Amino acid sequence: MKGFGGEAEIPAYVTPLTIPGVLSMPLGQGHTSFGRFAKGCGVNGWKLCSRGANHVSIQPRALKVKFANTDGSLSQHGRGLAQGMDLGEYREAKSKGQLPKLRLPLPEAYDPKEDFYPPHKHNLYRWAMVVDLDRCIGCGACVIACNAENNVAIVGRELVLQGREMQWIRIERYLEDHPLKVRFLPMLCQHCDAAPCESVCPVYAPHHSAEGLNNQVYNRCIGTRFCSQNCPYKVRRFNWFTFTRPKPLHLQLNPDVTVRQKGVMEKCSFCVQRIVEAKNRIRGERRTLRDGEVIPACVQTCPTEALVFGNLMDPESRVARLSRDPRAYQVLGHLNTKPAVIYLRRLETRREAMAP
Amino acid sequence: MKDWQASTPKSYSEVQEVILGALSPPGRSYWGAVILCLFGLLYGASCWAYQILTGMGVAGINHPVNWGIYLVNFVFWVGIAHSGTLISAILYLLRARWRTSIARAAEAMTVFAVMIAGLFPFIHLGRVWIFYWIIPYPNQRDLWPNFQSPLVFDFLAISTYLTVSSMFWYMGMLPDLAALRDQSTGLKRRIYGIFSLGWQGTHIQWRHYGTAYLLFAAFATPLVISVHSVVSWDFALSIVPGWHSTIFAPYFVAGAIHSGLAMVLTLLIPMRGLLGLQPLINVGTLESIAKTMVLTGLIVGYSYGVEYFMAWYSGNMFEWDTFIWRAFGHYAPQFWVMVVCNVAGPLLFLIKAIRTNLIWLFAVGIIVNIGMWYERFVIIVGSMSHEYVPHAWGVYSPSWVELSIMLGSFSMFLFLFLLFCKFVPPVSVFEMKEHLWTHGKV
Repeated sequence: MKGFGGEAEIPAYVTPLTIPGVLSMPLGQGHTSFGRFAKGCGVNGWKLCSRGANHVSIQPRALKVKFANTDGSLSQHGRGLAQGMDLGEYREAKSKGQLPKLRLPLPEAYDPKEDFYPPHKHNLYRWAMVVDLDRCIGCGACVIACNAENNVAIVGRELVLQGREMQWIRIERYLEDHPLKVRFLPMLCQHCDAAPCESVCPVYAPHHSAEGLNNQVYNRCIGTRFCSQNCPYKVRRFNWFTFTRPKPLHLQLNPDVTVRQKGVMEKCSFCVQRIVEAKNRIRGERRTLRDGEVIPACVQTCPTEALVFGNLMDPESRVARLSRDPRAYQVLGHLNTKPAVIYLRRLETRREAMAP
Repeated sequence: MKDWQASTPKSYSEVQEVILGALSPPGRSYWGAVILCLFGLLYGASCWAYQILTGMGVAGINHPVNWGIYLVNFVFWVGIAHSGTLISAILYLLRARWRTSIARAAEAMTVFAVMIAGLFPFIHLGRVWIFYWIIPYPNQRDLWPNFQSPLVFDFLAISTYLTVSSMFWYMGMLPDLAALRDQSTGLKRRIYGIFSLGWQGTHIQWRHYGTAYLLFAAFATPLVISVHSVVSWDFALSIVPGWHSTIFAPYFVAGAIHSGLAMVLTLLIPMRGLLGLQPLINVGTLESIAKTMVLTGLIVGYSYGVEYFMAWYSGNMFEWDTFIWRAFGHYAPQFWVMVVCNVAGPLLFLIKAIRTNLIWLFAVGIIVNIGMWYERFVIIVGSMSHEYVPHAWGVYSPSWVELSIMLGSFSMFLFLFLLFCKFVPPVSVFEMKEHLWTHGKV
């Protein structure tokens, strides 16, 4: 790319998400003196069009750069993971008081014809999350919040290219043709009631808590990675190395969360440290936690309140009420893992919602 | 071929001469090969040490392919281990005569292969230094393994198999070790003396021996079926499309025997030439192996077909998509190598000229070995990389560390087998003599 201010070699990413013939470029990269991590990262777009001159010319070159993204595929391949719903249909279902077909992670959902293992009994709480796909704008703030809260390692470009990103929550984006649109699907540990990861671990490292959490006991993990293999949502993350934080980044570690050693599996904990902290806060008050008293980092950060966290055992909690919404569904619900993350379908026009 | 003219031993002393002749002091090339294999083994071991110190990241595995060629090699070596027991135990119970001359070597192959197979799950562990947490024994940490996990079944199955097959192998060698003891002098005599456990060849010893051998054969027979069935459950008990299938146990057992027989051909053809065992291991024996491989190859081919039929018939889109992707996706070359080598390769044995030609026998043995390795690769990696969530799809290729450790495993196998060839009788002396007595010829 050549401009009045100079020229630069910039990789182009071809995506159906921009109008044909349009190139867009983020500004704010290509620092020369902003610390060792910012240096040499990207290209400064301002330099190309300095002093008000905004004309640039482009000369394509036959070079290829590996693009460090995490999308295995941008299509759902008709698998119905991120679903949409026609607005009219939704209104009709809502007015009829229709309930969605869910297999909630509660003992009530136990069906001896379909379940191999007995149901889990929960004391007081069964933590769950509702993700409203209609509100999600795919900004990724939840991912950053989770990274900061849970000391999730930032692995860098090379390891992302190798498929070793460590994020506990991710935004899956799926493109739908005819008409072209994007559906965002925040994906995190589903804290299943019949968790496939729990049954295959030889040493009980994934542990089902009395409050329905799927806890990963790092100390116990010996690193067979079978849990990750058996997780249909692929949300578990393995520590390929002992990831370190160069000084002074170690100061930003959250003291309430352990850092993990090489060879152990980790994943979303529903911010269990915040649950413990909330319980400690109300100790002596002789009551249970009220709705909204526990807020995981991703929920706290979401600018559109697409994420809601709460106790599914309390029928009046927001998660329990939302799970009765006709838009509610579970990703890969047919596997009968009874996920505790309930998704609300994206509201779309009839034509859009037809896409699987 | 020369083999047809090779004079077959007519008396006990001739049998003994031929077999113990194989143990004559080896030449320089033998020791060269041993040292080369030892270096390969040490190189593999040092790569493992490097991996332990650095982290599993030095292997090529990633998300979503958490299991790479370590487990491919694990299943491959367990498979190799199957024919030994099949030949020594099942064919013993079935009174198949052709087994006698090759049982000892096939069993040695089994024992070494299980030893190597047993190493791979450890190499694969993220924190191998606490592997013993998987063992069920009362301990002060109050830890107890999860018996729901197929990995615990696996641990128990492999350790049982290793114990039984090595005891069976060792026990079958006792009379021969005693014969060696009686023939040698000095330190050698003392060493063989210790290992022959005071065998005198008395009637009562022979009677006990016969009962024990039969008992072991009967005990090892179900293990041939069960071990690889359990290994297959590592996959079949998961919910991964392409793994979650009821055909896996018989499919894996047939595949294991298929690959094991191929390895017998690969090892025995050079061995009999180098050790001068042609009079005992004749082409007729090898032909019987080839015929069995036609059967196992057909079973394996049938299993491939059934997998596709079931994936289609189930109407499960995830399942069907995985199988289409296997045949036409990123790993299509590996898939077609697998089909051609394992199914079409052994069918060449339908032609008599091919299955009685040593070069062809050896070549097809190698081809099937390659095909069976790729079968495990296609099953493990080909399913992992294309699971439920398209966003999480990804591919894998092994790193130099993984390949080095694999090289180390092959070196270890050859190293042990080379030592076996020169330090214990590679063919059972007394069984061949017994053979001569009952059938009038070997």
